Amino acid sequence: MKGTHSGQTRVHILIVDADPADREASQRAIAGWPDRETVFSDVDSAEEALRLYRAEHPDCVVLDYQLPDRDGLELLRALQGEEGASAPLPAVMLTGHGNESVAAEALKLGAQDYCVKGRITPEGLRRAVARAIEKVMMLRKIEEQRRELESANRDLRRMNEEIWAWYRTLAHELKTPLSSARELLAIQLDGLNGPLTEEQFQQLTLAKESCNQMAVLIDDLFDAARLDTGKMTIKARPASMGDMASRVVNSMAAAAADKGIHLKCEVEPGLPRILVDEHLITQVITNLLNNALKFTPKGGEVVVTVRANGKRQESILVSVSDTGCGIEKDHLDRIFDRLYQTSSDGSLCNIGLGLGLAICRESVKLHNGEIWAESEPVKGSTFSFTIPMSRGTEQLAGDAPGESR
Amino acid sequence: MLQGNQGERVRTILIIEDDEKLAIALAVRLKASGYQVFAAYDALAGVCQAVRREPDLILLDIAMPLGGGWSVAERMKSKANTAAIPIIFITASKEPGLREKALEKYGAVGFLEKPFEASDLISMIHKALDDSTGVSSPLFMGSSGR
Repeated sequence: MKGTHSGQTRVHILIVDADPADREASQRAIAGWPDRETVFSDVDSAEEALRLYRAEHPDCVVLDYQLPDRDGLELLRALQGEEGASAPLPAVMLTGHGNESVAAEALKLGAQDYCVKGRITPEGLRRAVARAIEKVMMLRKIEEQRRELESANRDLRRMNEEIWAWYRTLAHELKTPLSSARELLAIQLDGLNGPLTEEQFQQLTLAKESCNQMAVLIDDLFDAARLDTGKMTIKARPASMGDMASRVVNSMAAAAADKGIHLKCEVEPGLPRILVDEHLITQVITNLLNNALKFTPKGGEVVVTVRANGKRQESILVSVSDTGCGIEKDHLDRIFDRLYQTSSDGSLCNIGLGLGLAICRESVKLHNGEIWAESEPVKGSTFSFTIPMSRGTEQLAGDAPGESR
Repeated sequence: MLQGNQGERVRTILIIEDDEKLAIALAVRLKASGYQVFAAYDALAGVCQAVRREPDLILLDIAMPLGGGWSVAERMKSKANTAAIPIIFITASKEPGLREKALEKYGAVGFLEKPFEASDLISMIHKALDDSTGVSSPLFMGSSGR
């Protein structure tokens, strides 16, 4: 359809009928269309119709079933071949009285409507044509939008893959020089080039610690990118949350003792094994415990608790409590956000890059669990998370080998 | 300088690592532990050196120019005089599945993610070389071994 100078929309109708009187009648009926300038092509054979359809792309085809060379259904099949198998056909079929099977077949072949000759009024035919044109336009528009969305989706996926690949390369490239710097420092520290003075030893130890810190940050960055690009995978197997917590606590017992912090692990006996990704959950507990040890002063206490939780004991709760400097209420809600840091006004509590807690939250979320923090400044903080025992874990079992997005 | 047990020849280790700085650092470390060390800075040079020197062990980076670590391991496997040389893979990559690929598919005796403690590397080498002289027992359960 095209706009015209008079402001009316021009519609081009192709009429295919062997009977000249019927062609004339159809034209007259449709020509009375208000607000439309109608243009007609009329032909008396399927062959001619197909040629014209290819050449002029009319807005609608009104075709009779009875044609001299092929019948109307065959013509519809040929038109379908022109448009593509699933594309809507702007066609209205005219059939004889009592020929409903032809009508049904025509609709199946993609025609928008049919009219029974001798029964249809002029307005009826015009309405059928108008509806057919409108419907095809709408269907084409929907199809076009679907394709646009599909292509946008494809672009986003490709971009996502590119971002993920870039982060992988970044992590690799950052670690390479870090590894050699760290090893060259370690060689001095281990005295391979001769004994060091006390000052040299202390300062090189600090340099090596900085390297270790950098390695942890690069790992965090990699994990964050993995979460952002939906590359996190859960491999859930039945495991004991109590055992996991105990193992993490044991591995950090020496570090706690060095800092003069009293570290305890309290596990409720008789808890069932639940479906979890042991690597991810161990990482969560490790992160929380690391933070607790970092912010608890000498002589303080850190307690890791594992127990059943909820009215019907439907989840397992793990909490890490410390007697550290605490976190102000304003910060509590945002503490799990990526890159969120507490005020840098010189206060003693600085949670670093903040990636660790963001990774914890994502890992717990992937297990359908919850994570939160409670705190009172000066008195200390408690970080807790829950992992559902049954419902969530059934879903997880289904997810197990795949990727979560 | 340590010379190993009396009457035993000095063991040789070939480091194939494109980061020259790390290769230098590891060479210092391994020499101090009594090994003779050679280094190559890309996969192709690594294969040439391995064939020429037939080292007792290869320390092999995974991501490298001119072929990469996997291709070096394949070339070692395909030649009779290098097929039995134990390989320890090292990598700065955190891609999942690399450890499994190294140990199971390529039958490596070890896998280390950078940065690693030199002591871990040394004990891995000790174990691998002791095993290759005596009756060998698998270092890693689950590795297909050779």
